[in-house]
Amino acid sequence: MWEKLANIDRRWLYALMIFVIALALIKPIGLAIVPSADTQKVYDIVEQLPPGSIVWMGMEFSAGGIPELMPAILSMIRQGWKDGRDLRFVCAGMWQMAGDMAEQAFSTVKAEFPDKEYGVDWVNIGYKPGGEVLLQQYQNSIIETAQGVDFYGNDLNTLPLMKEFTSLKQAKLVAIFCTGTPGEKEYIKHVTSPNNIPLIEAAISVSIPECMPLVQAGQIKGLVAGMKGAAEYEVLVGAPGSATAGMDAQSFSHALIIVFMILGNIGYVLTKNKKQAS
Amino acid sequence: MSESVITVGNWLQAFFTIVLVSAVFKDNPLYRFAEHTYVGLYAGYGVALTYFNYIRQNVTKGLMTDGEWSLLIPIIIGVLIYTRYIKSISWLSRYTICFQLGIGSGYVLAKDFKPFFVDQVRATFLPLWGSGDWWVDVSNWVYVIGTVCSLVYFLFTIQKKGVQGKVSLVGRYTMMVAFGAAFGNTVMARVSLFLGRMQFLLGDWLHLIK
Amino acid sequence: MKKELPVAITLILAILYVLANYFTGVAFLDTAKNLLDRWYLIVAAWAVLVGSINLTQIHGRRISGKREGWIFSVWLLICLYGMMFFGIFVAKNASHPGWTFMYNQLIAPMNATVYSTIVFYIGSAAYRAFRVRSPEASVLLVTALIMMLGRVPLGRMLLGGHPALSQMADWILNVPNSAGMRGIQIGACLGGVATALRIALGIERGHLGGTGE
Repeated sequence: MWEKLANIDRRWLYALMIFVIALALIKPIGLAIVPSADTQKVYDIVEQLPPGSIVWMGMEFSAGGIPELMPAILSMIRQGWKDGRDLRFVCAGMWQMAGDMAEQAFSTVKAEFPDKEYGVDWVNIGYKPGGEVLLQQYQNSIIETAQGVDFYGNDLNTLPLMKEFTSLKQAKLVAIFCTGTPGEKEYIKHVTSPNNIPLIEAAISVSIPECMPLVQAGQIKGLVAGMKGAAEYEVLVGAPGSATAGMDAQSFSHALIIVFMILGNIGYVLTKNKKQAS
Repeated sequence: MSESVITVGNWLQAFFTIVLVSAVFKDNPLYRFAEHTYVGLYAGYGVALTYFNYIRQNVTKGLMTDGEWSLLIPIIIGVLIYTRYIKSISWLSRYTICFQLGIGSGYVLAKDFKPFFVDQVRATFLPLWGSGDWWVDVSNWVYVIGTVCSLVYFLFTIQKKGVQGKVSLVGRYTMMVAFGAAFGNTVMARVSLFLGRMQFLLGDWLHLIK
Repeated sequence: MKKELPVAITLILAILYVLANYFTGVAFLDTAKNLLDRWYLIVAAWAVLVGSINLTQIHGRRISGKREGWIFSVWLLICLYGMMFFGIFVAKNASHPGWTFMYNQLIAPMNATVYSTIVFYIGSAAYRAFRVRSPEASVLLVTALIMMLGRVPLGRMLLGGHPALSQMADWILNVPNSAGMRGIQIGACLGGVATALRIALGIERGHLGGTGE
């Protein structure tokens, strides 16, 4: 029997995982989400920006990061535009899907803020090739580096926001959303460290442990940690969304994986003891 | 987009999502079809995106409108990479690689040391007593000892015996804690990824959740 | 000269960038660096077809050799060049409805799904491979358990609303994890700088190989 415990067919485990996640999504319990100090810090940093400040949004992720990062982006835009705060956003990225991610975010939020206008309140430059060298060049001239066009093919010279915001150094805050490399390290070494611009980041959970030394050193001023951080940010902004909805399923799938770990180890220990006894 | 287009899109999404996930149960021809579709479309997407976001402007504005013929130099350097597919002149592709590596290594030498060595070491100099909170003092001790011991672990030119061995062992355990934290967070990240797809399947496709 | 000249170019560029970083305000260095940065972006853009050509070579060989699954390779090449042709000659920009449909309904969801299947392998690994064979493995396991419970609302619920688990998870992330990661990252930084120096000085020449000469 103990051998069976240590050798359950993995396909049953997969089916169980799908079942638990589906059940938790269809019938959520509504576990309380309490904002952590890290997410509160990010919220406070954005809240303290003077109205009309220009925020650089680095969309350094692909579609795999959407569940964890898109809720944080939506929350930041909502926080920046509500109550007459009128923050302005310039979005760009070193990752290929940068422009598509910004488009998805702003097209979702735009309906809630009908007075906001493209080219005045936000610009989507999108992806340009070149990796970290792009960040270096954006500090000289954004329009020249972007070859004069935004993600949609519009002439950047015709956009009022880009007449004012000509260099990345003018950003009051750099907010990046990362799933890997290139990511926060490139921003720190090229942009925020040399120019003393505050950097906040929303990162996927995988990256959180390696970001902590950068947070402790003050190189990242605030960190929204994965889906949990995004859910906390949604709570702070007062607009619960997909991250909040997913936390129950997240909780129960963690519990299931812990059960797998315990089961596997029980089976291993008992099988080992039996072999040693025989 | 019209309702019917969104519906067709949702069904396509659902089909490819289910088929791609089916591979974890058993490899099957539908999965291979979906996998090849994804790889082909994604590669083509990247090329087309780079073309109309950058290359087209490079040629139409840079070369033809502004007459900046010096741009031909980097264009030629970039195009030289394709000579690696022609055996007789494949050595020309080294120019592209060395150009990029020269700038890349220049940036590493110029920019990496301060933020990722100097600033990190500086941030490790934490107050070990007198902060007013005993728990902060204990945490700072753990931090400093953990960092130093982790660094000592990587001194492979000295045998891990005696004092060095014990210090390395503390470093090992510190890193085990770090890897445990990394594993826990990795589980969280991967579950979130799958959650996103489940939210689509159960919400947008089957309308079982709001 | 087929190897020496490219290596010399690497060295000159690396020295130029180091000097431009440390001697600011020198007009020649600033101008040269900015020009080279612009050229770098252009070189990176024009080299975009390398991946597609590699794919074509690999799958072309599979098709011509009629190897197992060659029909899928035909389909892959149709998708690859079809998407390229559609984007460059039909859509022409990211606002085209056909382009946004292809991205939103096919590429992005498939991209997300491919990564999301890793969760099953994590579950399988947690069950099969995560064994407490040694004290180090035990430390890793216990830390992972605290993380997984502390960083979701379930941790609070299990303790009747008490934040002990989440506080433990936060402390682990902020202190021992950060210490261990810092040690690893400092080592990685030194390793990266050493490798960059080796490449710049031409000691490391692996990147020059694979061309037959």
